[in-house]
Amino acid sequence: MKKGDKLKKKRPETVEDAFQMTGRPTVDFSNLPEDLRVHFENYYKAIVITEALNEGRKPDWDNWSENKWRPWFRMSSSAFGLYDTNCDGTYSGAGSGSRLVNFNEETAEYSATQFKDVWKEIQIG
Amino acid sequence: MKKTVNIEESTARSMYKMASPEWKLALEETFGKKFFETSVEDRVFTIEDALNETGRPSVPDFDCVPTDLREFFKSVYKCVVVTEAFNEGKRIDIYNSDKRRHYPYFVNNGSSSAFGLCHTNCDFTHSYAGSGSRLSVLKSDNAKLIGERFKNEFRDMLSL
Repeated sequence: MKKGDKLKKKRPETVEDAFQMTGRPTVDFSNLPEDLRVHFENYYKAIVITEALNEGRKPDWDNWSENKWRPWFRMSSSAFGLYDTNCDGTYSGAGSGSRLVNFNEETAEYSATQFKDVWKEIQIG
Repeated sequence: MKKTVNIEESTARSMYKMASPEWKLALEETFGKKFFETSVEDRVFTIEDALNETGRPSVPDFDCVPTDLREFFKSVYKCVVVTEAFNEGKRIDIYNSDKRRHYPYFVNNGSSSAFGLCHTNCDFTHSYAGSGSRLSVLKSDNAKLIGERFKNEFRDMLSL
């Protein structure tokens, strides 16, 4: 088995896989205002997915040489999807940050394409 | 017959924008003319102001999520409410490529105490990770303002 295949096998393929791999519970956000629930539900899912993909590793924001990758999306109602990935050492825009970054470009791309619906609901939910 | 109506400040402000001259006068008599003249930039300085402005309930405990994520989700809620307050009820249509969306951009400067606003960015048709309609504002100046005024809330959201 190639190294790449091994890595691929470890990755979550579904949201349920991510919950199983991290041991995180599913959460009911019904105590939030109704119009905010979808946003928070999907934010939570994205955190769990990112945790599963990062295998517990957390970003060190004081480490300029550690790149933090995040997906960028093309915002189109008919063709929402991955546009590019981007990385920063110590900078962060509103909405990114410790919980939603990966440590390599390939993982950020995988996250964006495999879990496109989750990311979309964060953007519009 | 006389009936009393209770109106939240946030509701009064949104009603005022669409009200007929008669209703505008009635609202001004109740809340004061000055109440409707101040801008959101002059009204919202704290999270409580933002909650009051939007009519959103106070920050939930988030006891539904695992313990280590509670403070994080509280900070997300605060930033969402601050953004809503500064957008004055206008929800950004992220599919409209003619509309700019602005957001603050931060640098950590090596420590949590030195964390601060670096600059603001704007996008038309692109959006990354957790940004999008809930964390972008319509005016560039307001992106700068919320990045400075609510630095601690954004720092928590980005680092916790």
